[in-house]
Amino acid sequence: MFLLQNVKYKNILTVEELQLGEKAITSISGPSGGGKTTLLRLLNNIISPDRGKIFYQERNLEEYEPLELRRRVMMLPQNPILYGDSIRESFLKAQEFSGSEVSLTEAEEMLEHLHLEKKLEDSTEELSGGERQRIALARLLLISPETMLLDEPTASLDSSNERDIVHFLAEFARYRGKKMIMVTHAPEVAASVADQEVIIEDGHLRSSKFNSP
Amino acid sequence: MDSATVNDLGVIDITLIQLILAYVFVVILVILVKKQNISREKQIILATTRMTIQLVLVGYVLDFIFDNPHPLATVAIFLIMEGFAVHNIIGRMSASPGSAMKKVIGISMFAGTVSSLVFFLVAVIGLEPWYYPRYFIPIAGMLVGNSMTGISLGAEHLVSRIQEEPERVEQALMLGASPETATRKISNQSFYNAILPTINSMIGMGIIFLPGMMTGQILSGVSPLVAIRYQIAIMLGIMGSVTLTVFILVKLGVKTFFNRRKQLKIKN
Repeated sequence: MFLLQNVKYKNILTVEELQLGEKAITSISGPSGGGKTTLLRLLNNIISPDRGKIFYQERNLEEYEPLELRRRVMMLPQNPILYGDSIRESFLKAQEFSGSEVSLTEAEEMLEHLHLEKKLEDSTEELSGGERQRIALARLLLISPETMLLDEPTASLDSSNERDIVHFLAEFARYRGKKMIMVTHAPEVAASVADQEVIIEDGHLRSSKFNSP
Repeated sequence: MDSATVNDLGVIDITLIQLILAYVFVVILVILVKKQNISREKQIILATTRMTIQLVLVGYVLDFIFDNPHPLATVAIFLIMEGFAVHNIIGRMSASPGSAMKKVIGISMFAGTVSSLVFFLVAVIGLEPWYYPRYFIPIAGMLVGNSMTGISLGAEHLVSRIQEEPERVEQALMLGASPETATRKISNQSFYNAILPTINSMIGMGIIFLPGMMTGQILSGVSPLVAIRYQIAIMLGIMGSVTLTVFILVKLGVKTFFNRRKQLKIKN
């Protein structure tokens, strides 16, 4: 799916060769500040490498029309902005940005799946970090691009919620035929569902292994 | 009225002594400021002196140009106005604009004011010759001055909001938004901020205050009915010029923040 060749971005990340995202779930872990988020940003083409090439489905990212690429490969940052005073507005904004229809009927269901007892009319103002993350996650799942780059999507959740949601994400990806590349601070949770585990440390690829089904 | 001199047009001429009398206001202000220990006397005196010298000089320059109309002189004055306006806009911005944004400010100021000025002078006023300085220069001054205020406010909002909250724009890009969509809220607010003073002044005009140009015309003996026609026309011209300059600024200005890969340029 993604192939990185001889990629360097400032002094933050250097990767000689890495193939990732071929199977449904790829987890990326490693100490903080090691270059994991930068890797996702490169894959989303929100930044470009100083040198080297990144291919997505055998085509260089630079050859894609940026909008087309980002509508196929979307990224959920660690501290997502919801863009809207209410949860409904936030979903509608996502629809406007992505150009994909977001069903508001499915939106409430999706929030339930993500263990969030909120109504669409509820305000986004006093939400906790974890709630914001789950709304943003629901938004992305409803847009449902072919590849999702998730930067610590469960970072603000307690461990039991985290486990449930990671399993839900894995199921969602497998059932819908989507790919998820997930940066995680809890590799043991990700390992339980990941088809490929990548470890990045100090701006370098430490290891990449595929798990048997 | 006995001591005043009235000219052939029925306009009261202000003699030098009468003009000097007007400086009594400055003297009062300086005394008040000193008594209150506000320590701003120097600034008041400097501003008064600058205003006096600038206006005396411009009076003589305009007097000469009006007596010797020439297209090159009119164009030169117009370019000087534009240059000062652009310099002023860039100098007053709290967040420093990049070189591309500076160019956009210059282009939008020039393109917006020139096209509205041409339309106004040719179609609305029917000025002949087109460079007749008595009309060209004051009207150009009003369009350039108001567009300058508009662009200042619009550019300030655009640059500071994108520089202060790049994540807001970038996260929209991550969801597949185009640069225009990702910055739409900021662009719209910039546009609104820019045209607000013109809208407000149109709403208050004639009730809360009498506009400067109309007051000037009335004082110089023109019938109020003619003066209001000019005032209405010039206000519409100003609105057109402000709208056009700011529209160009926002459209081109947003593009300066993105590279060809539609990535935000100011982060990382």
